[in-house]
Amino acid sequence: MEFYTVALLLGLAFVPLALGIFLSAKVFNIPDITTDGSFTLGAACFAVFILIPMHPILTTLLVLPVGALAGAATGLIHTKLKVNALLSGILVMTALYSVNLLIMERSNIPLIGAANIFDQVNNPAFLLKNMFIVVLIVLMVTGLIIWLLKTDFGLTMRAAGSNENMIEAQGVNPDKIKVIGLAISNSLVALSGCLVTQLQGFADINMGIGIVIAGLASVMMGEAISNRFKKSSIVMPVLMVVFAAILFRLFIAFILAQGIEQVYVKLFTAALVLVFLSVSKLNFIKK
Amino acid sequence: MIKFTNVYKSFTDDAGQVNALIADLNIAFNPAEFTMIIGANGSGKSTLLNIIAGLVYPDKGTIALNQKEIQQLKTYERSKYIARIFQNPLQGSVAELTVMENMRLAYLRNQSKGLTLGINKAFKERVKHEISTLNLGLENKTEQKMGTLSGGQRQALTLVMATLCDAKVLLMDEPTAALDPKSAHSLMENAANIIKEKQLTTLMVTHNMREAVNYGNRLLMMKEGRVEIDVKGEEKMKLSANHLFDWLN
Repeated sequence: MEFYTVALLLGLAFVPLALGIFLSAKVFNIPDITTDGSFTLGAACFAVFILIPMHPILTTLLVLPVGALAGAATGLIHTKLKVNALLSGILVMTALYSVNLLIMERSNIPLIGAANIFDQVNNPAFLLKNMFIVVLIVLMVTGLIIWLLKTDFGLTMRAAGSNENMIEAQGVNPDKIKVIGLAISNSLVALSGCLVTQLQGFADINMGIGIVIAGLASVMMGEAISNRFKKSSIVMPVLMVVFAAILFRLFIAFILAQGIEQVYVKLFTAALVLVFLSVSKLNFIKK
Repeated sequence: MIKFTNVYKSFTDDAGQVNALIADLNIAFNPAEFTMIIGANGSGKSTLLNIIAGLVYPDKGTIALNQKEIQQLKTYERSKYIARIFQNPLQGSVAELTVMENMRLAYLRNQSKGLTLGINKAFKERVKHEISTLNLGLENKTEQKMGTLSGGQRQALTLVMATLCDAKVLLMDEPTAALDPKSAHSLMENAANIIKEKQLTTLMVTHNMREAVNYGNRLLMMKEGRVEIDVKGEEKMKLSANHLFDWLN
Protein backbone atom coordinates (compact mmCIF):
# COMPACT_ATOMS: atom_id res chain seq x y z
CA MET A 1 0.00 0.00 0.00
CA GLU A 2 2.82 2.35 0.87
CA PHE A 3 4.16 1.81 -2.64
CA TYR A 4 1.00 3.30 -4.14
CA THR A 5 0.90 6.10 -1.57
CA VAL A 6 4.36 7.16 -2.69
CA ALA A 7 3.20 6.99 -6.31
CA LEU A 8 0.19 9.14 -5.40
CA LEU A 9 2.50 11.69 -3.77
CA LEU A 10 4.69 11.77 -6.86
CA GLY A 11 1.62 12.11 -9.05
CA LEU A 12 0.50 15.13 -7.06
CA ALA A 13 3.97 16.64 -7.32
CA PHE A 14 3.72 16.28 -11.11
CA VAL A 15 0.42 18.21 -11.28
CA PRO A 16 2.07 21.64 -11.76
CA LEU A 17 4.16 20.13 -14.58
CA ALA A 18 1.04 18.77 -16.28
CA LEU A 19 -0.70 22.13 -15.89
CA GLY A 20 2.36 23.91 -17.30
CA ILE A 21 2.38 21.67 -20.35
CA PHE A 22 -1.39 22.07 -20.64
CA LEU A 23 -0.80 25.82 -20.89
CA SER A 24 1.90 25.64 -23.54
CA ALA A 25 0.61 22.69 -25.58
CA LYS A 26 -3.15 23.13 -25.34
CA VAL A 27 -3.82 26.77 -24.54
CA PHE A 28 -1.03 28.25 -26.65
CA ASN A 29 -0.60 25.45 -29.15
CA ILE A 30 3.19 25.64 -28.72
CA PRO A 31 5.20 22.43 -28.36
CA ASP A 32 7.52 23.66 -25.62
CA ILE A 33 10.52 21.43 -24.93
CA THR A 34 12.12 23.93 -22.54
CA THR A 35 10.29 21.82 -19.96
CA ASP A 36 13.06 19.21 -19.77
CA GLY A 37 15.52 21.89 -18.73
CA SER A 38 13.28 23.99 -16.50
CA PHE A 39 12.19 20.94 -14.50
CA THR A 40 15.81 20.24 -13.58
CA LEU A 41 16.37 23.98 -13.11
CA GLY A 42 13.68 24.00 -10.42
CA ALA A 43 15.29 21.01 -8.73
CA ALA A 44 18.83 22.42 -8.98
CA CYS A 45 17.88 25.82 -7.59
CA PHE A 46 16.03 24.28 -4.69
CA ALA A 47 18.93 21.99 -3.79
CA VAL A 48 21.50 24.78 -3.90
CA PHE A 49 19.41 27.38 -2.07
CA ILE A 50 18.22 25.01 0.66
CA LEU A 51 21.82 24.08 1.52
CA ILE A 52 22.81 27.76 1.96
CA PRO A 53 20.56 27.35 4.10
CA MET A 54 17.38 29.17 3.16
CA HIS A 55 13.84 28.75 4.42
CA PRO A 56 12.13 25.91 2.50
CA ILE A 57 8.93 27.87 1.77
CA LEU A 58 10.91 30.84 0.49
CA THR A 59 13.12 28.54 -1.58
CA THR A 60 10.11 26.82 -3.12
CA LEU A 61 8.60 30.20 -4.00
CA LEU A 62 11.92 31.42 -5.43
CA VAL A 63 11.91 28.57 -7.94
CA LEU A 64 8.86 30.09 -9.67
CA PRO A 65 10.53 33.25 -11.10
CA VAL A 66 13.63 31.23 -12.04
CA GLY A 67 11.50 28.85 -14.12
CA ALA A 68 9.68 31.84 -15.59
CA LEU A 69 13.01 33.22 -16.82
CA ALA A 70 13.70 30.01 -18.74
CA GLY A 71 10.24 30.13 -20.32
CA ALA A 72 10.57 33.81 -21.18
CA ALA A 73 13.92 33.07 -22.86
CA THR A 74 12.24 30.53 -25.13
CA GLY A 75 9.38 32.94 -25.76
CA LEU A 76 11.68 35.80 -26.67
CA ILE A 77 13.82 33.66 -28.99
CA HIS A 78 10.63 32.47 -30.69
CA THR A 79 8.89 35.84 -31.03
CA LYS A 80 11.74 38.35 -31.37
CA LEU A 81 14.31 36.30 -33.26
CA LYS A 82 11.58 34.49 -35.22
CA VAL A 83 12.95 31.03 -34.49
CA ASN A 84 10.51 28.14 -34.77
CA ALA A 85 8.87 27.47 -31.38
CA LEU A 86 10.00 23.86 -31.11
CA LEU A 87 13.56 24.80 -32.00
CA SER A 88 13.58 27.72 -29.53
CA GLY A 89 12.63 25.30 -26.76
CA ILE A 90 15.34 22.82 -27.79
CA LEU A 91 17.94 25.61 -27.78
CA VAL A 92 17.00 26.82 -24.31
CA MET A 93 16.74 23.26 -23.01
CA THR A 94 20.24 22.49 -24.29
CA ALA A 95 21.64 25.67 -22.79
CA LEU A 96 19.91 24.92 -19.50
CA TYR A 97 21.82 21.63 -19.18
CA SER A 98 25.02 23.66 -18.77
CA VAL A 99 23.30 26.26 -16.62
CA ASN A 100 21.95 23.56 -14.32
CA LEU A 101 25.38 21.95 -14.01
CA LEU A 102 26.89 25.36 -13.23
CA ILE A 103 24.27 25.92 -10.54
CA MET A 104 24.70 22.46 -9.02
CA GLU A 105 28.50 22.25 -9.55
CA ARG A 106 28.14 18.45 -9.76
CA SER A 107 25.67 16.07 -11.31
CA ASN A 108 23.90 14.99 -8.13
CA ILE A 109 23.13 16.73 -4.82
CA PRO A 110 21.81 14.53 -2.02
CA LEU A 111 19.44 16.33 0.36
CA ILE A 112 19.12 13.76 3.11
CA GLY A 113 18.68 15.68 6.35
CA ALA A 114 18.24 19.01 4.60
CA ALA A 115 15.17 21.10 5.38
CA ASN A 116 12.10 20.84 3.10
CA ILE A 117 8.56 22.16 3.01
CA PHE A 118 7.26 18.93 4.52
CA ASP A 119 8.89 19.82 7.87
CA GLN A 120 6.43 22.65 8.20
CA VAL A 121 3.78 20.41 9.73
CA ASN A 122 4.60 18.48 12.88
CA ASN A 123 3.18 15.07 12.23
CA PRO A 124 5.04 11.88 12.93
CA ALA A 125 3.30 10.00 10.11
CA PHE A 126 5.70 10.91 7.30
CA LEU A 127 3.50 10.07 4.33
CA LEU A 128 0.36 11.65 5.72
CA LYS A 129 2.18 14.88 6.46
CA ASN A 130 3.69 15.00 2.97
CA MET A 131 0.31 14.24 1.47
CA PHE A 132 -1.30 17.12 3.32
CA ILE A 133 1.24 19.65 2.07
CA VAL A 134 1.35 18.43 -1.51
CA VAL A 135 -2.44 18.36 -1.73
CA LEU A 136 -2.51 21.90 -0.38
CA ILE A 137 -0.04 23.07 -3.04
CA VAL A 138 -1.90 21.26 -5.81
CA LEU A 139 -5.20 22.84 -4.73
CA MET A 140 -3.64 26.29 -4.69
CA VAL A 141 -1.94 25.93 -8.08
CA THR A 142 -5.02 24.42 -9.73
CA GLY A 143 -7.29 27.10 -8.31
CA LEU A 144 -4.90 29.79 -9.45
CA ILE A 145 -4.70 28.43 -13.01
CA ILE A 146 -8.50 28.10 -13.32
CA TRP A 147 -8.90 31.65 -12.04
CA LEU A 148 -6.20 32.94 -14.40
CA LEU A 149 -7.78 31.30 -17.45
CA LYS A 150 -11.13 32.86 -16.59
CA THR A 151 -9.81 36.40 -16.26
CA ASP A 152 -9.69 38.83 -19.16
CA PHE A 153 -5.98 38.13 -19.50
CA GLY A 154 -6.65 34.39 -19.52
CA LEU A 155 -9.23 34.78 -22.27
CA THR A 156 -6.59 36.59 -24.31
CA MET A 157 -4.14 33.73 -23.72
CA ARG A 158 -6.71 31.16 -24.85
CA ALA A 159 -7.57 33.22 -27.92
CA ALA A 160 -3.89 33.69 -28.80
CA GLY A 161 -3.42 29.94 -29.10
CA SER A 162 -6.28 29.44 -31.49
CA ASN A 163 -6.68 32.59 -33.59
CA GLU A 164 -3.80 35.03 -33.67
CA ASN A 165 -5.47 37.23 -36.31
CA MET A 166 -8.46 37.74 -34.10
CA ILE A 167 -6.59 38.92 -31.02
CA GLU A 168 -4.45 41.22 -33.13
CA ALA A 169 -7.69 42.71 -34.41
CA GLN A 170 -8.69 43.14 -30.75
CA GLY A 171 -5.66 45.28 -30.00
CA VAL A 172 -3.44 42.59 -28.50
CA ASN A 173 0.23 42.03 -29.24
CA PRO A 174 0.33 38.22 -29.61
CA ASP A 175 4.11 38.08 -29.02
CA LYS A 176 3.77 39.56 -25.55
CA ILE A 177 1.07 37.07 -24.60
CA LYS A 178 3.19 34.14 -25.81
CA VAL A 179 6.25 35.20 -23.79
CA ILE A 180 4.18 35.64 -20.63
CA GLY A 181 2.40 32.34 -21.25
CA LEU A 182 5.63 30.38 -21.67
CA ALA A 183 7.01 32.05 -18.54
CA ILE A 184 4.00 30.95 -16.49
CA SER A 185 4.14 27.47 -17.99
CA ASN A 186 7.83 26.98 -17.14
CA SER A 187 7.50 28.39 -13.64
CA LEU A 188 4.94 25.65 -12.99
CA VAL A 189 7.31 23.07 -14.44
CA ALA A 190 10.13 24.31 -12.22
CA LEU A 191 7.80 24.07 -9.22
CA SER A 192 7.22 20.41 -10.05
CA GLY A 193 10.97 19.83 -10.28
CA CYS A 194 11.40 21.43 -6.89
CA LEU A 195 8.61 19.34 -5.29
CA VAL A 196 9.90 16.09 -6.76
CA THR A 197 13.39 16.85 -5.46
CA GLN A 198 12.01 17.38 -1.97
CA LEU A 199 10.08 14.11 -2.11
CA GLN A 200 13.01 12.11 -3.48
CA GLY A 201 15.63 13.73 -1.28
CA PHE A 202 18.08 14.54 -4.08
CA ALA A 203 18.52 16.66 -7.20
CA ASP A 204 20.01 15.10 -10.30
CA ILE A 205 21.16 16.71 -13.55
CA ASN A 206 19.30 14.09 -15.62
CA MET A 207 16.01 14.12 -13.75
CA GLY A 208 14.30 16.28 -16.38
CA ILE A 209 15.07 14.11 -19.40
CA GLY A 210 11.88 13.09 -21.18
CA ILE A 211 9.72 14.83 -18.59
CA VAL A 212 7.86 16.70 -21.34
CA ILE A 213 6.43 13.42 -22.58
CA ALA A 214 5.30 12.44 -19.09
CA GLY A 215 3.52 15.80 -18.88
CA LEU A 216 2.06 15.41 -22.35
CA ALA A 217 0.74 11.97 -21.42
CA SER A 218 -1.24 13.59 -18.58
CA VAL A 219 -2.48 16.38 -20.84
CA MET A 220 -3.60 13.92 -23.53
CA MET A 221 -5.32 11.65 -21.03
CA GLY A 222 -6.98 14.65 -19.44
CA GLU A 223 -8.19 15.87 -22.80
CA ALA A 224 -9.54 12.46 -23.76
CA ILE A 225 -11.52 12.32 -20.52
CA SER A 226 -12.79 15.91 -20.56
CA ASN A 227 -13.95 15.59 -24.20
CA ARG A 228 -16.52 13.07 -22.95
CA PHE A 229 -18.21 15.79 -20.91
CA LYS A 230 -18.76 18.27 -23.75
CA LYS A 231 -18.65 21.26 -21.46
CA SER A 232 -17.74 24.65 -22.87
CA SER A 233 -16.12 25.87 -19.63
CA ILE A 234 -12.35 25.72 -19.10
CA VAL A 235 -12.78 24.27 -15.59
CA MET A 236 -13.37 20.69 -16.70
CA PRO A 237 -10.28 20.40 -18.96
CA VAL A 238 -8.03 21.77 -16.20
CA LEU A 239 -9.47 19.45 -13.53
CA MET A 240 -9.11 16.45 -15.85
CA VAL A 241 -5.44 17.26 -16.50
CA VAL A 242 -4.89 17.31 -12.73
CA PHE A 243 -6.73 14.02 -12.36
CA ALA A 244 -4.81 12.47 -15.28
CA ALA A 245 -1.43 13.56 -13.89
CA ILE A 246 -2.16 11.62 -10.70
CA LEU A 247 -3.67 8.68 -12.56
CA PHE A 248 -0.63 8.49 -14.83
CA ARG A 249 1.79 8.01 -11.89
CA LEU A 250 -0.46 5.38 -10.32
CA PHE A 251 -0.54 3.63 -13.67
CA ILE A 252 3.27 3.64 -13.87
CA ALA A 253 3.41 2.36 -10.29
CA PHE A 254 0.97 -0.41 -11.19
CA ILE A 255 3.15 -1.46 -14.11
CA LEU A 256 6.28 -1.48 -11.98
CA ALA A 257 4.41 -3.52 -9.38
CA GLN A 258 3.77 -6.18 -12.03
CA GLY A 259 7.50 -6.81 -12.10
CA ILE A 260 8.24 -4.85 -15.24
CA GLU A 261 11.65 -3.20 -15.01
CA GLN A 262 12.21 0.54 -14.63
CA VAL A 263 14.02 0.57 -18.02
CA TYR A 264 10.71 0.16 -19.83
CA VAL A 265 8.96 3.10 -18.18
CA LYS A 266 9.90 5.70 -20.82
CA LEU A 267 9.07 3.30 -23.65
CA PHE A 268 5.73 2.70 -22.06
CA THR A 269 5.12 6.44 -21.54
CA ALA A 270 5.85 7.20 -25.20
CA ALA A 271 3.51 4.40 -26.30
CA LEU A 272 0.78 5.74 -24.01
CA VAL A 273 1.08 9.26 -25.46
CA LEU A 274 0.90 7.78 -28.96
CA VAL A 275 -2.28 5.88 -28.07
CA PHE A 276 -3.98 8.98 -26.67
CA LEU A 277 -2.84 11.13 -29.58
CA SER A 278 -4.29 8.74 -32.15
CA VAL A 279 -7.42 8.06 -30.12
CA SER A 280 -8.30 11.76 -30.10
CA LYS A 281 -7.67 11.96 -33.86
CA LEU A 282 -9.81 8.91 -34.58
CA ASN A 283 -12.63 10.37 -32.48
CA PHE A 284 -12.35 13.50 -34.54
CA ILE A 285 -12.89 11.61 -37.78
CA LYS A 286 -16.00 9.89 -36.42
CA LYS A 287 -17.59 13.24 -35.61
CA MET B 1 -12.63 60.32 -40.42
CA ILE B 2 -9.92 58.74 -42.53
CA LYS B 3 -7.77 60.76 -44.89
CA PHE B 4 -5.36 59.34 -47.47
CA THR B 5 -2.68 61.74 -48.72
CA ASN B 6 -0.52 60.67 -51.68
CA VAL B 7 -0.62 57.03 -50.63
CA TYR B 8 1.42 54.80 -52.89
CA LYS B 9 2.03 51.07 -52.65
CA SER B 10 3.72 48.88 -55.23
CA PHE B 11 5.06 45.39 -55.60
CA THR B 12 7.76 44.03 -57.84
CA ASP B 13 6.76 40.92 -59.76
CA ASP B 14 8.97 37.98 -60.73
CA ALA B 15 9.91 39.66 -64.00
CA GLY B 16 11.29 42.62 -62.06
CA GLN B 17 8.50 44.92 -63.16
CA VAL B 18 7.12 47.40 -60.63
CA ASN B 19 3.32 47.37 -60.37
CA ALA B 20 1.32 49.92 -58.44
CA LEU B 21 -1.24 48.34 -56.12
CA ILE B 22 -2.35 51.77 -54.93
CA ALA B 23 -1.28 54.70 -57.10
CA ASP B 24 -1.08 58.12 -55.44
CA LEU B 25 -4.36 57.93 -53.64
CA ASN B 26 -5.89 61.10 -52.19
CA ILE B 27 -9.28 60.50 -50.65
CA ALA B 28 -11.20 61.10 -47.42
CA PHE B 29 -13.95 59.13 -45.72
CA ASN B 30 -16.27 60.96 -43.34
CA PRO B 31 -17.89 59.73 -40.11
CA ALA B 32 -21.03 57.65 -40.74
CA GLU B 33 -20.12 57.37 -44.39
CA PHE B 34 -20.81 53.82 -45.60
CA THR B 35 -18.64 53.32 -48.66
CA MET B 36 -19.01 50.36 -51.01
CA ILE B 37 -15.88 49.49 -52.97
CA ILE B 38 -16.13 47.51 -56.17
CA GLY B 39 -13.61 46.64 -58.86
CA ALA B 40 -12.00 43.69 -60.62
CA ASN B 41 -9.59 41.36 -58.88
CA GLY B 42 -6.24 43.06 -58.40
CA SER B 43 -7.71 46.55 -58.64
CA GLY B 44 -6.48 47.44 -55.14
CA LYS B 45 -9.72 47.13 -53.11
CA SER B 46 -8.43 44.78 -50.48
CA THR B 47 -5.05 46.53 -50.41
CA LEU B 48 -6.88 49.74 -49.55
CA LEU B 49 -8.56 48.04 -46.59
CA ASN B 50 -5.35 46.31 -45.53
CA ILE B 51 -3.46 49.60 -45.56
CA ILE B 52 -6.01 51.04 -43.14
CA ALA B 53 -5.91 47.94 -40.93
CA GLY B 54 -2.11 47.86 -40.90
CA LEU B 55 -1.59 44.53 -42.65
CA VAL B 56 0.12 46.36 -45.51
CA TYR B 57 2.35 49.41 -45.08
CA PRO B 58 2.34 52.07 -47.80
CA ASP B 59 5.62 52.90 -49.59
CA LYS B 60 4.78 56.60 -49.55
CA GLY B 61 2.14 58.95 -48.21
CA THR B 62 0.18 59.34 -45.01
CA ILE B 63 -3.06 57.96 -43.61
CA ALA B 64 -4.71 60.01 -40.90
CA LEU B 65 -7.44 58.80 -38.59
CA ASN B 66 -9.12 61.83 -36.97
CA GLN B 67 -6.06 64.00 -37.77
CA LYS B 68 -3.67 61.43 -36.27
CA GLU B 69 -1.22 59.76 -38.63
CA ILE B 70 -1.46 55.99 -38.31
CA GLN B 71 0.53 54.59 -41.23
CA GLN B 72 3.44 53.58 -38.96
CA LEU B 73 1.35 51.89 -36.27
CA LYS B 74 1.26 48.10 -35.95
CA THR B 75 -2.01 46.25 -36.52
CA TYR B 76 -2.70 45.72 -32.82
CA GLU B 77 -1.88 49.35 -32.04
CA ARG B 78 -4.45 50.75 -34.45
CA SER B 79 -7.08 48.03 -33.98
CA LYS B 80 -8.17 50.00 -30.93
CA TYR B 81 -10.06 52.29 -33.30
CA ILE B 82 -10.66 49.95 -36.19
CA ALA B 83 -13.06 47.01 -36.23
CA ARG B 84 -12.77 44.44 -38.98
CA ILE B 85 -15.02 41.79 -40.44
CA PHE B 86 -13.27 39.20 -42.56
CA GLN B 87 -14.45 37.27 -45.58
CA ASN B 88 -13.93 34.01 -43.73
CA PRO B 89 -16.40 33.86 -40.81
CA LEU B 90 -13.92 31.65 -38.90
CA GLN B 91 -11.26 34.35 -38.89
CA GLY B 92 -13.06 36.95 -36.82
CA SER B 93 -13.75 34.90 -33.73
CA VAL B 94 -12.21 32.16 -31.61
CA ALA B 95 -13.90 28.79 -32.13
CA GLU B 96 -12.71 27.35 -28.81
CA LEU B 97 -14.13 30.15 -26.69
CA THR B 98 -17.80 30.64 -25.92
CA VAL B 99 -19.80 33.41 -27.60
CA MET B 100 -19.74 35.36 -24.34
CA GLU B 101 -15.95 35.01 -24.02
CA ASN B 102 -15.47 36.22 -27.58
CA MET B 103 -17.68 39.19 -26.79
CA ARG B 104 -15.60 39.97 -23.73
CA LEU B 105 -12.40 40.11 -25.80
CA ALA B 106 -14.08 42.33 -28.35
CA TYR B 107 -15.41 44.61 -25.62
CA LEU B 108 -11.86 45.05 -24.32
CA ARG B 109 -10.46 46.02 -27.72
CA ASN B 110 -9.38 49.48 -26.55
CA GLN B 111 -8.55 48.50 -22.97
CA SER B 112 -5.88 46.41 -21.31
CA LYS B 113 -6.78 42.82 -20.56
CA GLY B 114 -6.15 42.51 -16.85
CA LEU B 115 -6.58 39.96 -14.11
CA THR B 116 -10.25 40.61 -13.54
CA LEU B 117 -13.17 38.27 -13.98
CA GLY B 118 -14.97 40.55 -16.39
CA ILE B 119 -17.89 38.36 -17.42
CA ASN B 120 -20.34 39.35 -14.70
CA LYS B 121 -24.11 39.64 -14.68
CA ALA B 122 -24.19 43.22 -15.94
CA PHE B 123 -21.83 42.40 -18.81
CA LYS B 124 -23.84 39.32 -19.79
CA GLU B 125 -27.06 41.31 -19.87
CA ARG B 126 -25.53 44.05 -21.95
CA VAL B 127 -24.14 41.56 -24.48
CA LYS B 128 -27.41 39.64 -24.66
CA HIS B 129 -29.21 42.89 -25.34
CA GLU B 130 -26.80 43.81 -28.14
CA ILE B 131 -27.07 40.33 -29.67
CA SER B 132 -30.87 40.41 -29.51
CA THR B 133 -30.88 43.41 -31.88
CA LEU B 134 -29.76 40.97 -34.62
CA ASN B 135 -33.12 39.20 -34.33
CA LEU B 136 -31.52 35.81 -34.88
CA GLY B 137 -32.24 34.32 -31.46
CA LEU B 138 -28.51 34.07 -30.76
CA GLU B 139 -28.86 35.71 -27.34
CA ASN B 140 -29.80 32.27 -26.00
CA LYS B 141 -26.61 30.67 -27.30
CA THR B 142 -24.04 32.81 -25.53
CA GLU B 143 -22.68 29.93 -23.44
CA GLN B 144 -22.02 27.79 -26.52
CA LYS B 145 -18.62 27.58 -28.11
CA MET B 146 -18.29 29.84 -31.13
CA GLY B 147 -17.21 26.82 -33.19
CA THR B 148 -20.64 25.20 -32.80
CA LEU B 149 -22.39 28.00 -34.72
CA SER B 150 -22.88 28.37 -38.48
CA GLY B 151 -20.88 30.74 -40.67
CA GLY B 152 -23.79 33.15 -40.94
CA GLN B 153 -24.33 33.16 -37.19
CA ARG B 154 -20.62 33.70 -36.54
CA GLN B 155 -20.46 36.53 -39.03
CA ALA B 156 -23.48 38.22 -37.46
CA LEU B 157 -21.90 37.91 -34.02
CA THR B 158 -18.63 39.30 -35.40
CA LEU B 159 -20.65 42.35 -36.39
CA VAL B 160 -21.80 42.78 -32.80
CA MET B 161 -18.20 42.22 -31.64
CA ALA B 162 -17.01 44.91 -34.02
CA THR B 163 -19.30 47.44 -32.42
CA LEU B 164 -19.20 46.46 -28.74
CA CYS B 165 -16.57 49.04 -27.96
CA ASP B 166 -16.35 52.50 -29.41
CA ALA B 167 -14.64 51.75 -32.71
CA LYS B 168 -14.60 54.64 -35.14
CA VAL B 169 -14.01 52.66 -38.29
CA LEU B 170 -15.49 49.44 -39.62
CA LEU B 171 -13.72 47.54 -42.40
CA MET B 172 -15.56 44.71 -44.13
CA ASP B 173 -13.85 42.62 -46.79
CA GLU B 174 -16.51 40.65 -48.67
CA PRO B 175 -18.33 39.82 -45.42
CA THR B 176 -21.15 37.95 -47.17
CA ALA B 177 -19.05 35.98 -49.67
CA ALA B 178 -19.18 32.79 -47.61
CA LEU B 179 -22.84 33.10 -46.59
CA ASP B 180 -26.09 31.76 -48.04
CA PRO B 181 -28.39 34.44 -49.57
CA LYS B 182 -30.69 34.63 -46.56
CA SER B 183 -27.87 35.00 -44.02
CA ALA B 184 -26.16 37.48 -46.33
CA HIS B 185 -29.29 39.62 -46.51
CA SER B 186 -29.80 39.53 -42.76
CA LEU B 187 -26.15 40.44 -42.15
CA MET B 188 -26.32 43.43 -44.48
CA GLU B 189 -29.54 44.69 -42.90
CA ASN B 190 -28.02 44.42 -39.44
CA ALA B 191 -24.78 46.04 -40.58
CA ALA B 192 -26.63 48.98 -42.12
CA ASN B 193 -28.58 49.55 -38.89
CA ILE B 194 -25.50 49.35 -36.68
CA ILE B 195 -23.43 51.64 -38.93
CA LYS B 196 -26.19 54.23 -38.85
CA GLU B 197 -26.78 53.96 -35.13
CA LYS B 198 -23.08 54.05 -34.12
CA GLN B 199 -22.04 56.54 -36.83
CA LEU B 200 -19.19 54.33 -38.06
CA THR B 201 -16.94 55.28 -40.95
CA THR B 202 -17.38 52.11 -42.96
CA LEU B 203 -15.56 50.70 -45.96
CA MET B 204 -16.87 47.53 -47.50
CA VAL B 205 -15.36 45.59 -50.39
CA THR B 206 -17.87 43.55 -52.36
CA HIS B 207 -18.30 41.65 -55.62
CA ASN B 208 -22.05 41.55 -55.13
CA MET B 209 -23.53 44.34 -57.28
CA ARG B 210 -26.92 44.17 -55.56
CA GLU B 211 -25.28 44.84 -52.21
CA ALA B 212 -23.22 47.64 -53.70
CA VAL B 213 -26.36 49.30 -55.01
CA ASN B 214 -28.73 48.66 -52.11
CA TYR B 215 -26.48 49.57 -49.22
CA GLY B 216 -24.19 52.44 -48.34
CA ASN B 217 -24.23 56.13 -49.23
CA ARG B 218 -21.06 56.22 -51.30
CA LEU B 219 -19.59 53.98 -53.96
CA LEU B 220 -16.04 53.68 -55.28
CA MET B 221 -14.97 51.72 -58.29
CA MET B 222 -11.28 50.94 -58.36
CA LYS B 223 -9.13 50.08 -61.35
CA GLU B 224 -5.41 49.42 -61.38
CA GLY B 225 -4.85 51.03 -58.00
CA ARG B 226 -6.83 54.18 -58.74
CA VAL B 227 -10.31 55.33 -57.83
CA GLU B 228 -11.99 55.34 -61.21
CA ILE B 229 -15.49 56.33 -60.12
CA ASP B 230 -16.63 57.97 -56.88
CA VAL B 231 -20.33 58.68 -56.37
CA LYS B 232 -22.09 59.90 -53.22
CA GLY B 233 -25.51 60.65 -51.78
CA GLU B 234 -28.34 61.30 -54.23
CA GLU B 235 -26.27 60.19 -57.18
CA LYS B 236 -25.48 56.90 -55.49
CA MET B 237 -29.18 56.30 -54.79
CA LYS B 238 -29.93 56.53 -58.48
CA LEU B 239 -27.48 53.78 -59.43
CA SER B 240 -28.68 50.38 -60.56
CA ALA B 241 -26.77 47.13 -60.78
CA ASN B 242 -26.72 47.51 -64.56
CA HIS B 243 -24.73 50.73 -64.27
CA LEU B 244 -22.12 48.91 -62.27
CA PHE B 245 -21.91 46.03 -64.71
CA ASP B 246 -21.38 48.52 -67.51
CA TRP B 247 -18.59 50.20 -65.61
CA LEU B 248 -16.84 46.98 -64.76
CA ASN B 249 -16.87 45.89 -68.39
